[in-house]
Amino acid sequence: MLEKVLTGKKHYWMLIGGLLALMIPGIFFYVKQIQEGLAVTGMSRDVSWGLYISQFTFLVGVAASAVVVVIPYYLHNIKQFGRLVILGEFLAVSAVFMCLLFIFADMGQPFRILNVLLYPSPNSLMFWDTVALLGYLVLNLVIAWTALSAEYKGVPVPGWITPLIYLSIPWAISIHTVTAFLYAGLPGRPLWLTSIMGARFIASAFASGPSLLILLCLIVRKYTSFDPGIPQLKAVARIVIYALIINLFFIILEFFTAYYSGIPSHRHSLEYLYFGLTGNGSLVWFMRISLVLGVAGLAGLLFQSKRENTTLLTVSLIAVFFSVWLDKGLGLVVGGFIPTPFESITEYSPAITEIAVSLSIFAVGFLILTMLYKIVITIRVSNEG
Amino acid sequence: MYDGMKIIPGIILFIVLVSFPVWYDSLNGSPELSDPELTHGKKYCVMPKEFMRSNHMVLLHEWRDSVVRDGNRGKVKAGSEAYDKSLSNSCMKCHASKKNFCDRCHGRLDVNPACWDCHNPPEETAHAN
Amino acid sequence: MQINRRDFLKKAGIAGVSLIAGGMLYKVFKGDDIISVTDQSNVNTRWAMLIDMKKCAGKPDCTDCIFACNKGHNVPEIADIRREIKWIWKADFESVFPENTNEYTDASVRSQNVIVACNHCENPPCVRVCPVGATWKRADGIVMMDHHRCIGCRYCMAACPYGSRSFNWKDPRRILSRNDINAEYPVRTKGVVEKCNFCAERIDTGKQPLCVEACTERAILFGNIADSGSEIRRALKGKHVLRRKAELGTNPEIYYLI
Repeated sequence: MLEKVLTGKKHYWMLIGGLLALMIPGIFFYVKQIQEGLAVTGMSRDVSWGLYISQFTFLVGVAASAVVVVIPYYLHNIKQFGRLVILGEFLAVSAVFMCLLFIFADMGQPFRILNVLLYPSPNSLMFWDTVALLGYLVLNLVIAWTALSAEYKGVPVPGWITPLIYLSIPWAISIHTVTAFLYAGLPGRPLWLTSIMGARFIASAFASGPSLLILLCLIVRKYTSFDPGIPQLKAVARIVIYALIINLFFIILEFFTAYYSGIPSHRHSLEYLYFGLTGNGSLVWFMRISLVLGVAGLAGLLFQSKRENTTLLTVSLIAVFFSVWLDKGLGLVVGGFIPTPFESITEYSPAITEIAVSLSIFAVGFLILTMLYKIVITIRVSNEG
Repeated sequence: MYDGMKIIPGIILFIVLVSFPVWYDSLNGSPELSDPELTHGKKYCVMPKEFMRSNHMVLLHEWRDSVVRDGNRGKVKAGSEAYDKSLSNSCMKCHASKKNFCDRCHGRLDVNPACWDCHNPPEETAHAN
Repeated sequence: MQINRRDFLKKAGIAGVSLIAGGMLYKVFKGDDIISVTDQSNVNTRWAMLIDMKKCAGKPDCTDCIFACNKGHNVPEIADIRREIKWIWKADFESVFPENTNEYTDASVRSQNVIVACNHCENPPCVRVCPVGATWKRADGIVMMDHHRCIGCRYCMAACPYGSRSFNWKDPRRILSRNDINAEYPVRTKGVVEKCNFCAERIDTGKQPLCVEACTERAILFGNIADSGSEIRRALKGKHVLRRKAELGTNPEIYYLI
């Protein structure tokens, strides 16, 4: 099946070439980062995690959200999701891959990465996150690949895969819960010290991940002769609506607890993020745009359901995706560090290195995704044709 | 076998390239690896010369773990003297030139231990250079 | 038995993964480096520090303890606050003890400098989160760093509620001049986290920490707080002392006498 990656039309090669080109600057910047140390990033003693860890956090959500198509298809036997399941699982594979690369990019001593395996420390959530992510990567790769092979050969999916599919469902929830636990268990960071962190992570993941999946399917539909099916995509969009409402509700809950209790430490980070604190607030507009995009995306999704054309659907999903990205892939991690334990403020903005390296990693992820989707589409088109 | 004409020469080429250091040295004769320089009058090291030659890195790792992780800062006997378990503060006091002691072998073998990123080598005196 | 390449690769893959996973499981259960929450009631040694802020405030411009520590441990001086490395330093009262400051707190108290360092918590969040055991708590309570093992993930910095940890954003040798380096103590490499180690290298050989020794006002008292007859315990008797963010349950081992 892998050989399908090597043949394609002009569009396919242009996309591959574009993604490879996007990788190049990041490689140079990463080499510089290895030589100079992380001083070439915008991170600091006070804001010690930045764009890299934010992207990691966001992408774990994207990976976990594959379960949104897996559950209806395998647990509720809703056949119409069958056309989406493998696409969802391969999206998860590429997202987990990007997660691992972002962690790697963030490390001060990347050549010591094997210490994580040599000195496994179950007291650390980072250990469990590594186990969860690697396990999830293997599960999705095995499940999707086996199902696709069966489809390719025109034989039924082998039975041994069923327990793995059932295992992958709680596993998907667990990867994002454990990622939330990375933050929610730290005593000195009031923004993160909230028990709905895990639930909010899953809600925002189920809003952003499936949004991306539908958008990818719309692209597939437009540029290839494989059609995942508009009714199917609209069904997934309904899940996005519910998840998005829950996520916005959770944001209100966070505000309520912080502001009604009046505990300064719990209020400060939210104040910094949405209103600015003592004149500092480099993220204020991003966070407000995130809220506006979230609400606008929700309205758009509610209105599009009765429409034939997909323009409003597309625009709304883009809005939802970027709303969650700004909130979780930028504000959440950085906001947790501000104010500092000394109640001072050190602002953070990503350096060119971080932006270039991040783009590179996204390019790697989308390259993997493109190739995996190419295999799926080629097989489906020839089977259906 | 399909493509035998490509595969077999390929394998041969691969083996030739991989074994480059071996045949290159056997053709040209490997340069003498002179003994590392000792700039001290002491008779005993903490371990015999033969052991140190092949296992100094193991010993240093054991010392490191024992001092840093176990807080075990007891001394090590060598002849009638006792030394701290320390690279900079014991080993390099006798073997006082990194250039002529460590680097001579490490350079030849192209190993780059990370010791000196943090630990301080003794000042190279004019004599040692 | 016939085995084709595909099956061989599959089986080799499964065997490899199981081997690594098995090795990890073995390590986890053997519990080599795992910190366990032990009963602290019959511990014989708990190193602790008592800082007398009145004595310290007598000399507001003094930096003797900071200087001695930086010199002894090769801590580089970096002007850019984003890249700073600090083991022991001064911060104003208001930011060290925000919960003990009120509207009417005297301006002189508010802005008074307080010496801060790693608190060597009894229940250290940094140790809990470290994925490789590069920071851990010794039996005598000192929270140690193993710079050989640290992977530079900075999770400990996110976990520390006191901002006591610093990261080497670049190679410190590029900042320290060769003449300033104390050759007997290592410097760090880029990409690892560091912090005050309560001078473990001195305590183990029966000496007092550098900051304690350097203070001419004798404002820092260091000793074994588990020993009821120790000087630090006698000094604490009947006194009201502060600890930073004690409500977090970390049990800091630096006490402040106001």
